[in-house]
Amino acid sequence: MKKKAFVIFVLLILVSLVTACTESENNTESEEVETINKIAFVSDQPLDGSEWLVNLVDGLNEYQEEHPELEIKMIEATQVGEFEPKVRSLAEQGYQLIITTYASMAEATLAVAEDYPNYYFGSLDGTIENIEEYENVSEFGLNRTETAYLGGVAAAAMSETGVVGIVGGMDEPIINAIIAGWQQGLRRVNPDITDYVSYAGTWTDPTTGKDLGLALADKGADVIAAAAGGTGAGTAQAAAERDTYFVAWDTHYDEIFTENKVELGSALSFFDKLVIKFIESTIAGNFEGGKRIELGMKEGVCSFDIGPESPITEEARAMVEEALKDIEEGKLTIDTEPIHK
Amino acid sequence: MDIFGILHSTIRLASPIILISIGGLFSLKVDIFNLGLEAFALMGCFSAVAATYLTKNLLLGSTIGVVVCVIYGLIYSFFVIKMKVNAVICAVAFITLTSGLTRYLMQPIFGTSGKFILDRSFALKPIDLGIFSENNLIGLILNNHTILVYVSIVLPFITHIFLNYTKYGLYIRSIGLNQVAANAAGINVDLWKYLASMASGFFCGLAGIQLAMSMNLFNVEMTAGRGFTALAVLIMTGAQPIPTFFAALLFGFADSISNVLSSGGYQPQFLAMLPYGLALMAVVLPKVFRLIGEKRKRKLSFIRILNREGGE
Repeated sequence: MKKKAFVIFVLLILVSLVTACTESENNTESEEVETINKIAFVSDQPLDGSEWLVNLVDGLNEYQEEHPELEIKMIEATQVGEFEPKVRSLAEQGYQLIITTYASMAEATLAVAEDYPNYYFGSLDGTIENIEEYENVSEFGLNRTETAYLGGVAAAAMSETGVVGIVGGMDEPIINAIIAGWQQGLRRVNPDITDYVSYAGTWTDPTTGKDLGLALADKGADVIAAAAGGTGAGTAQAAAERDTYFVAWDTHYDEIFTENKVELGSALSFFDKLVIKFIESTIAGNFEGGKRIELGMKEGVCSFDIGPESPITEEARAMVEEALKDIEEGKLTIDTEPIHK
Repeated sequence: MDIFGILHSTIRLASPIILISIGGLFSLKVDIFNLGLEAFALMGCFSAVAATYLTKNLLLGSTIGVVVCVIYGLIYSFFVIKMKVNAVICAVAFITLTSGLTRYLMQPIFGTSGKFILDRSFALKPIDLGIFSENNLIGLILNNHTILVYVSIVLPFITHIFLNYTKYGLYIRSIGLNQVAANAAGINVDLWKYLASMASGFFCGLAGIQLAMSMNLFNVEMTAGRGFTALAVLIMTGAQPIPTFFAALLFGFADSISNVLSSGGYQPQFLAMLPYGLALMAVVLPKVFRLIGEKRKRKLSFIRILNREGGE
């Protein structure tokens, strides 16, 4: 019995080796792409992990319903080892436009893009350095510093103690860009402001978010903000408990602020609009390979939204509108490095 | 730095860990190495929020949440005791199952995914106990906590009394120490193992309620490794209730300090290491001191022997 099992085992290994070898020979031939009707999106986080991703998935599902001639597939690849196999299998199945997310997937994207020169590849914030060498790869990103700047302006305008705090998700470039925008916005209104930055280190722990928010409030902050996904909901709870003003990211916390309306506004990012814009421009033939496109408030993919029940004063609102006009007219250059951590 | 604020949040942050540890303690005392406390706590969080959402009543919802966790504990112990599955493997399976199940069930039950926030009226609110006034030093630390935090403060002492001074506590301890002897003494070993596992489900459910309902929201992976921290606490203290209480307080203190320090501009990676570094020191330092003490004792007694021989 043992010998039989061993023989079967060896046969299985041989068969899988043979199929693997033959697969890689057929790869480099892909047909000329006339119309794009199969689009795939690969996320490196679970699809229900962060607010912005949930909104993106919902937006793409709606787009799919409006355009039944397209097939949009959204998958998640959370382990580093499965990035390249999954992207490659999507290309093999004939998905002519494949969009991947963030720097960790960049290498996999470039590797598969080399083998499929007729297919289009998009990278969301991939920070690809030698992107000019890849004509069928385009990087696009959302400028989140502008909305963070406006959030900072609103916060500094409403702060009476001159102390504010922000809870960031993790110490990484995207969050640091948001914090940079926030800090510069604060200093536009109040150059002597004291601002604290806390990193939660997690996207899914509201208890830590609440404790960080309470710690900031104990330090005297009367405006707190959170750009940390699920952890931010906890910080919103802290703001509701201590009755400090709150600036949200990616969502409005109406369910938390039912008794005291302290949410000044939310820096919303419409990732679904961003990806849909990219898809539509590629389908229309305006694919800009080999470079990075950045879209911001002007293109309508993000905004600083002041809710209808926001306690923001007329004066503060005017300051925010003035800053918005300056950004739109291109008068401001906002740095992406935080002033301090 | 507001020391009273830190101590206040120490207790608040330590209380889920205390509750989960006591749950795990019951399981460890009957020799079931329940690695899956994280799963029980997460299930507690989810079922409490789901039940409160569906019944629109905090008390009823919490009770249903705890009952679900007890049933979860029963299923786990069924696999371990009756089906003789390795406890650790079963626990890992439960952790994976719970992560996926809670994420999956969010869409059908709540209609959203990733995060669900309940109306604030259902929150487990902090209680202002009259006997602790704000001016009193102890009052600043112990006042304004939710009911479950107060439960978690007295629970380790009640558990200590139960385990060491009651008949049923003796049953549980004896099963862990020598199962064959306990069986020979007429104790229904299987029944008590099931009951202990259900008890661990019960306390993890309470921890889940404290985590979720004090925030009145549910987020995927809300427990954030607290189950494993509780297990570390239990192993550190050898599953004794009172040392477990203090070790959990130590972890809560480390969490609280790292939260307060995080806005001070320190490297967040170092602050993340802080709780685990403190725990490691808490385990290693006593042993190091004991080793040094023994070496000195040995050296001294050797010198004494030499002197005695020399004097004769």
